[in-house]
Amino acid sequence: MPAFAERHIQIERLATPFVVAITVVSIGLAMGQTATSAIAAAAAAALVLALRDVLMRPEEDASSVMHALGLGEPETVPPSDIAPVEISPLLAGDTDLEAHLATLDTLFSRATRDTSSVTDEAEAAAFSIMSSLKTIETTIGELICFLEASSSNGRVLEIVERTDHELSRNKTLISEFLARRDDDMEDCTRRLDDIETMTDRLSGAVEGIHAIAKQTHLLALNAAIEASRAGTFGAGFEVVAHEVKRLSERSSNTATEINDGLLTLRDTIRENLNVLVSQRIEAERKELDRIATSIATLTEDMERLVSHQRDTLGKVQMESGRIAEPVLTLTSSIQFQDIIRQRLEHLEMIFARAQGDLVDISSAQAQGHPLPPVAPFRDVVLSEGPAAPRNNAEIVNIELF
Amino acid sequence: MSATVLIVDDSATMLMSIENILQKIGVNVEKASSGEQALSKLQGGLKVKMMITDLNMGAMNGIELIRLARKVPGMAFAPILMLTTESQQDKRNEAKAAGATGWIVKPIDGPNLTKLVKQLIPGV
Repeated sequence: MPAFAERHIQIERLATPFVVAITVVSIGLAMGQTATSAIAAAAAAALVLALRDVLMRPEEDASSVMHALGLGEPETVPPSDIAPVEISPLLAGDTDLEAHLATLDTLFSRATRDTSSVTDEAEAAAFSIMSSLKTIETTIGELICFLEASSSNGRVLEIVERTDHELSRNKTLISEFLARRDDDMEDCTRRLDDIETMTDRLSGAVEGIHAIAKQTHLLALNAAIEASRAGTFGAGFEVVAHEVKRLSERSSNTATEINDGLLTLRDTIRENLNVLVSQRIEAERKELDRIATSIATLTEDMERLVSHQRDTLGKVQMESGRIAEPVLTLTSSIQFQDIIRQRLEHLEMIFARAQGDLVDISSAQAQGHPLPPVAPFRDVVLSEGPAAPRNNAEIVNIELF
Repeated sequence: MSATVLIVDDSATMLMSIENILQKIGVNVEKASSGEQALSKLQGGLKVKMMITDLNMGAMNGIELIRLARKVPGMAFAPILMLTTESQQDKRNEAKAAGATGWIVKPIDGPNLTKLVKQLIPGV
């Protein structure tokens, strides 16, 4: 068999398990939820396919293979903070196949290093995201507490101030009202007493007039008797006695009229006072209305205060729930990093196994021995790895035994 | 006094994510970044109502941890959940044989995890 044909068969044997395995992983990951991993796996499959195609070309050397794979010139990679990948001295040789195998070995070393680097960077990024989320969550919690305590304070203070003002006003109104009421009542009582005293005094005077009239009448009667005894000489005196009698009757009648007038006057004054009291009651009613209105305003303010507090609490609770939910979802979603890490570690393991297989192939080639069996290696690449696709209906994601 | 749950994972991100979810329902969380550390805490007298462990973790994997944790006084009947990216049935069977109470495939969201914890720890 020509050397090129042998090499072709060997390369086919080398590449086929990778193509199969990585294609399977690619399809599997593409069915899953992590697009980044699917793209990475698909890229790895494309890389291996490209590698196979390049190796099929008989005249390619290692450098051109690297270039054709888009891995860049050796001097442009790796970054300064990552250890450079050396061409394996174990595989470096004179034949083209040995050179290609050495390049493949280098490729897998580099793939392992890059995969590991992605794992580390993803983990660091995820940890940073988680830390930031926790900080955000804590800060939001503190902010909500602060808002709960302070945002309503301005309004509460305003309402309390108004309430306090209304209360002071009501107290003043009530004090003024009571003072006026006491003064008025005292004045009224005093005036009524004065009128009663004056009326009693006048009534006493009227009684005196009555007594004088009575005595005068008696005197006139005696004078008439004496006048009749005197006969003709007493006729003139009888006229005088008669006039005195009439005078006493008129005095008595006048005294009666005065007494009646005084009684009427007292009744009139009492009635007037009653009217005044009625008016006063009306005024008091108005004052009480004002107080009632003020109290109603106060009550309304208190209701607004309670309502405002209730609204604030409701809003804070709603916002708290609204913010907490996406943060919780985000902290759950960040678990993707661990899944990617484990998938990449699985790929690293496959790469390491491939590298070992390459060493075995190279050894066998150098020593003219038959190639090692591919079955163990194929079993490794076909074995199930971590994180099967999430949309596989046959997989139970939560199972209690 | 709130229930304590021990979470074991070699991923700091996973530990933080699960801790964050469980703290929301008032659970006290203890963390361990390896099977050895978790076992040491349990053997040192840490009393937990539940343990949630990853499968693939360095030297001591989750199944081995469960096997050893079941021998620690007070852990014979405590619920132990495996939280892993693996989903193969043979691994599940192995975990069940070692004493696992359940199997959860990563990722798990907050509502599902809290529901599960409430179901397995009365009073949470």
